[in-house]
Amino acid sequence: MNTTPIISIKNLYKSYGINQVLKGINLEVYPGQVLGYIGPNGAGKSTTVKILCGLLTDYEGEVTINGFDMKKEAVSAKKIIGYVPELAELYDVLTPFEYLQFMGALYGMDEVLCMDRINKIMSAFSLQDNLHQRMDTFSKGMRQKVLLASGLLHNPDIIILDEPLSGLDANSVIMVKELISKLAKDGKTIFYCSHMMDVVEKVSDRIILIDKGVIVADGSFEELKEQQGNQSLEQIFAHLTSKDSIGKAADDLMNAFN
Amino acid sequence: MNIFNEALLKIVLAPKKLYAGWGISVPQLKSILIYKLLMDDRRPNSIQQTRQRSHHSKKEINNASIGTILMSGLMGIFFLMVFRLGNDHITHLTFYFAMFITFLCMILISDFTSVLIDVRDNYIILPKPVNDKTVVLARLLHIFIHICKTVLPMVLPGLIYLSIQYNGIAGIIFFILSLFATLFSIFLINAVYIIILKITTPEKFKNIISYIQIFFAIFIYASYQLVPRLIGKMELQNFEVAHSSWLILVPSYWLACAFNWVFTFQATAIEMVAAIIGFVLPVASIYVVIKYLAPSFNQKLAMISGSEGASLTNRKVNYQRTQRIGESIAAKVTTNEIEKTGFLFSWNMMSRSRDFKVKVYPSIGYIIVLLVVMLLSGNSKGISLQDLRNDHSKSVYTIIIGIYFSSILVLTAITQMTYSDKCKASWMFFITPIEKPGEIISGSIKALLFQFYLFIALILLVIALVLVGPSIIPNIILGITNQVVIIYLIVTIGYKELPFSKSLSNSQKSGMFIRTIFMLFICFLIGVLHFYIFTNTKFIIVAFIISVTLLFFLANNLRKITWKHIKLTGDNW
Repeated sequence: MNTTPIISIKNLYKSYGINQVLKGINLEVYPGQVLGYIGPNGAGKSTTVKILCGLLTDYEGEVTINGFDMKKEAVSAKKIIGYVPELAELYDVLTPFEYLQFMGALYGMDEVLCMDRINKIMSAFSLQDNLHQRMDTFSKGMRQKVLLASGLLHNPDIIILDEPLSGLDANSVIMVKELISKLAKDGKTIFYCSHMMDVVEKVSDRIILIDKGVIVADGSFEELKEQQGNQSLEQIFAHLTSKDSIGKAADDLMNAFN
Repeated sequence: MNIFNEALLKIVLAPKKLYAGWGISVPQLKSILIYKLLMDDRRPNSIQQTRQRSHHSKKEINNASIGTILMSGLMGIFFLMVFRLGNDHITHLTFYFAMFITFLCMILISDFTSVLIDVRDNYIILPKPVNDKTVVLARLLHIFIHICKTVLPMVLPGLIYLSIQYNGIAGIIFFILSLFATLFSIFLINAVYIIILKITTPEKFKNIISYIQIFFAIFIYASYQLVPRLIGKMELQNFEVAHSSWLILVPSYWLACAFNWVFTFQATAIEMVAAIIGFVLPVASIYVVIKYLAPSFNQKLAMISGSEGASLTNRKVNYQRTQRIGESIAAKVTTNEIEKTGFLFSWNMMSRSRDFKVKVYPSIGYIIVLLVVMLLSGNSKGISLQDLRNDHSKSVYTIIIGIYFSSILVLTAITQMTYSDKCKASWMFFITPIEKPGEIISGSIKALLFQFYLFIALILLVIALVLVGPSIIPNIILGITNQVVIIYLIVTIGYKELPFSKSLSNSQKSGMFIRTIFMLFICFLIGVLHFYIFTNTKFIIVAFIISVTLLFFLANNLRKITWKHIKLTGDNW
């Protein structure tokens, strides 16, 4: 394994007003790793992701991507990152072709290469017939495919995926999962952020669990199982992130009806 | 909930026993109506929508219906002008009802869309245990309340006027006929909706509605500005609706005749026929609406809400044409790939974003109206082209004012270009390795110039050539160059923002108003300077050189904007 980390996060703190979301994250990710980044709602997952891809710049601590400091050399860092955001937010009056061409241009891609790739990727997602339709009529899954395409278009070294499977149909889910492992074999680093434990369990070779802004577990699924007893990731997650038992919460819910 | 809504709600819910007898659940009906009205109150009405400038839109809308009521009341007062036209009831009321029907139709068409086409009904009400009858009645009563809020205040001034001028009976007849006119308007709107839906797709339907809104805003503005002036000018006091036979085709004439006949018991044969049509037609038309139009209408409406994916495959886009125009302009005016990308992005977004059009296009209309008003206001007796050609300085003055007035318009467009309801999609600018976001901004400003300002400049040029002739060309060129300088100045001072990247709801910023005033002051200043030199060609040439130099400087400067200048607050995400 390569010994220089491609993503390095040191003492990362981030607050929104008085609300401190990240409380000292330290993390090194090596090339070719598929990192599953999990945590309960509000744990700071999305914030970490946004800092990594340059959407948030007012953080404390040091974040370097392939040696480039995210604060000082953001442009160089951004070149090797592909980002697939969580919500299907895109300018939907554009067509996928226009949108992707636009993204390609922002990455400074060669126009011919870019068009060729758009066609190939969109065909692979079986959206070739929708290439010149406005996206405002697209379903959530179709939009998600366009976003995935936009994250892969410039052949980045690091791919940051934030709930990439939301809205996708079963076949596409299988396809994306396979794609992830193939990309990893190809030496790409995948930063996979999700709530879906079963998928994280399968695709990632290293799992980071964060809760209330700090990392509470770090290791492969096997290592986590060793530490926490032979449980499913879901159970490990529940065990590490909730003080009261989840069963009690469900009981409380039931009691609301009495 | 305001007092008007409460009163209307009490009235429509009065026949509780009757409703219950029909198998309608009154408590459900009541709560549906309460929440519908509550939501109406928080939604801006058509006039507020189109005239709203982005920087006051943060203000929460809580009493939109009071706004609607006041507007309608004002319109009702405005209608009273017709009683100065001519001397007989038929003339008065033909005009009155013509205006009444026109305005009502327009208000209903633009306001109704949001009331009628509420997609959320499907998700919120349909899955709940509410029976169909309750839903249908709730919808009908909701529409009824909505119409009352528009019609009653609009009729009131006329009612009071007629009651005082003649007697209460005149008022009552007038009121009943106004209700007839309302019925007729509903019929018209239904017909228009059905026709539009027949000839186009539901997606385009929404676009057409927004064009109607744009037109409506301009129309109202124009009538407030122009009609009083026109009436003042032309000697209309002795005007009388000619008793020509084509009038029988005009709906408002029928209603006017009906009033005259019932009130005075005198009528010619034609008037009698018209009056009978006036009584029968609204009733017949509402029958047609209920019997034939409404059912297919509801089907079509369901189509609008369920349009997702319905017509996916045959919606192959043919915007390639505009795209190609955009690309060929971009190739000529942009200097690098990023700037070109910014240009094309803004070009496409502007030509397709409904929001942008609804907010910006009406202002083009306002400018044209203003120009016409200024031309009319100076001359006391009518105007002719010949007068204007002879009165050289006056038309040059008008043109110069016109050019600099278009700053307001440009300011609107520039502001609007930074906002989008899809602002969250702007993450793409921030994750990509762009060294200088200024290039993107520069590209989008160029797109704005070519798609939007070029058009205005051409209109001004044509008007100027018609009014003054070729001698004005140097002034026009200077004016337009100055205007472009102003555009760049506005962007440099105030709007260093990426295109379509800010949320409309967060758009109110402190100091925005002051900044806007400051910018308008700069425009005004440049305009005044121009005005002082417009006769002297030498000065014009010097000014032109200064202007172009400034333009190059500003344009280059804009492209150098770095990320430091763009406030990255993270509010968006």
